[in-house]
Amino acid sequence: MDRFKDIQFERFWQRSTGYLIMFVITLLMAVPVAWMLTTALRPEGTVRQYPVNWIPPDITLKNFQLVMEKVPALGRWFFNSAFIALATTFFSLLIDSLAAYALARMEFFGKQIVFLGILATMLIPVEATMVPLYLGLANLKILTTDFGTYMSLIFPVVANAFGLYLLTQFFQGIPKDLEDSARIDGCTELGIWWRIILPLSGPALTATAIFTFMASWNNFVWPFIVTSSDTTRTLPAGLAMVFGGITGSPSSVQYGMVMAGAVLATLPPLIIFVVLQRYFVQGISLTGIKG
Amino acid sequence: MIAEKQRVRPTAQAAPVSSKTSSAVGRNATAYLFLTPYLVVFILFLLLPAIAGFVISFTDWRILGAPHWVELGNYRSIFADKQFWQAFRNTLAFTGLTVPALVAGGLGLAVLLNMRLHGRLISRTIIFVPYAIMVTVVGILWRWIYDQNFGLLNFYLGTLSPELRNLSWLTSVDRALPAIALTTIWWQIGTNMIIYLAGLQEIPEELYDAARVDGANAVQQFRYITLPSLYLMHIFVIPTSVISSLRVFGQVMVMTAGGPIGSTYTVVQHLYNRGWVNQYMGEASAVGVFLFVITFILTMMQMRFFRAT
Repeated sequence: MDRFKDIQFERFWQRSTGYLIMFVITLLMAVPVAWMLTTALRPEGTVRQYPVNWIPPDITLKNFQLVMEKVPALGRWFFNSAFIALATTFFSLLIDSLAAYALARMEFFGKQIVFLGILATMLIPVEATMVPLYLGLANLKILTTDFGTYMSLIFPVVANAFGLYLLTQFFQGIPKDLEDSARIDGCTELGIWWRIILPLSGPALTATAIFTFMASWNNFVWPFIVTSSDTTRTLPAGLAMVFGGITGSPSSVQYGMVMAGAVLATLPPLIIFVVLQRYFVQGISLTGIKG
Repeated sequence: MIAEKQRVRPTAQAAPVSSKTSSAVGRNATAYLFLTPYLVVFILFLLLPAIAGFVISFTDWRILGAPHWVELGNYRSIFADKQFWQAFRNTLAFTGLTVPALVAGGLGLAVLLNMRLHGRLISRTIIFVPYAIMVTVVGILWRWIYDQNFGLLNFYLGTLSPELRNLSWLTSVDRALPAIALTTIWWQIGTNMIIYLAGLQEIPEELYDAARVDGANAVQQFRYITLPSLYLMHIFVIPTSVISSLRVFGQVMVMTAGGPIGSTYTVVQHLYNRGWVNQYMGEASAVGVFLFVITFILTMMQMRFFRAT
């Protein structure tokens, strides 16, 4: 009985400390985003205040209007970023899942070399391939057209070794029986990939999609170098040019307006992300640990 | 029903027999057909550029005009360049500041939020959310938080002690790099947490039960069950954290543009400057090759370490 009480007591302390740490860390992690929102929603005159006041005296959308006027290309950049990230994700899922199907379900000559070779390239920093890619694309005059620039923003990040690895691991875990019975019914390999493997791989495909989308959405250096006009510029590159450390000294920055721009750039993908993130955990836990 | 089954069975046996001998070539062809789209993109946009980058690093290519072979000239000039070494030192310091926090912190948070606490799902989401914010926004937002006069950080530090009220962060030679490191930890820690959480959920509960029966305390359980069971997660999380820290650029570009007096200047920024600001493409390529070599060495060291333990 005494021992039982001891354990109860220990459990109680463990849980209480757990709650305390969880609460403090969650609060600290949430503060920056909350600060971005509260700055964006208040009149510019009340932004620089001491002491800090979390609740805006007036809630206004004026900063959003202002940032749209000052940075008219914002909508275009947003469209470009979304379009490029979606196209990248689509092509990436397509070629990753086709290749993963071969690697996971077929025996063929050179399989190990291909798989390890692809994984090894995760070690090559994108930055090391930037110079030759840029020189090649510039000399072939591909970057002079908008279409060419879009393609140059999409394809260098489409072959995604991490996604390929995740999908290969996942496909290996799908029972062979289904595939065999489909084959007996005369299903082709392509049919099996499309009708059996892909429908059963929801979590892994979602995890790969989120990873790829975020990598493209976040991509900074390459769009920064490749894009030269507002028509093709992406949001990270455009925002860095307007609000980055390169221009504008900190004392003259209108933070209300800047934060409004930041909120506009953040909110839509953030909402999708929060909705989809549970699949992310599922997708990884069902694949990664099996090695 | 029965008739149908009987009809199917012979075909099922017949199919492999006929294909085994005749279509080894066909099987290889099918597999490579599936691999082709990936391999084409992979070779065109990754493998060839990587090889080309290595070759270009031995030339004096500037965007216009014909390149000449300069042998190790580019490497000699970058290694003689004080700015390059400063960039390298800063990048290593940044990696040293971020990686331990990202790995240990990510693991700690995963263990915490794997406990059966109410509200853990909301907490996970909030910690993971910064990952969805693009690097430019992260940089701009934290520049406002680090603002010397009206920033949030200095306000709360000021409530602790009046001396801390007016600290400079991004304009301070000593504090700018740690400040950017802190921002990066906030931004990236959720990803590592999620990956570790996925690993933790796969550890069978019986292992812990058995350990408890043997009298192992919480620390011992962590040391002898949790840590080794997450082996495959460590192999992924630690190298990728190191690689992404070595490649730091976006945050720096937005928050300090490398300053003050080069105290946050990084290797990738040096590559960008030499290549696109000064148009020495050969030298930029040499910096790229250097970055690859460092990444390769550090990753191999980690793999050695993992194999040994």
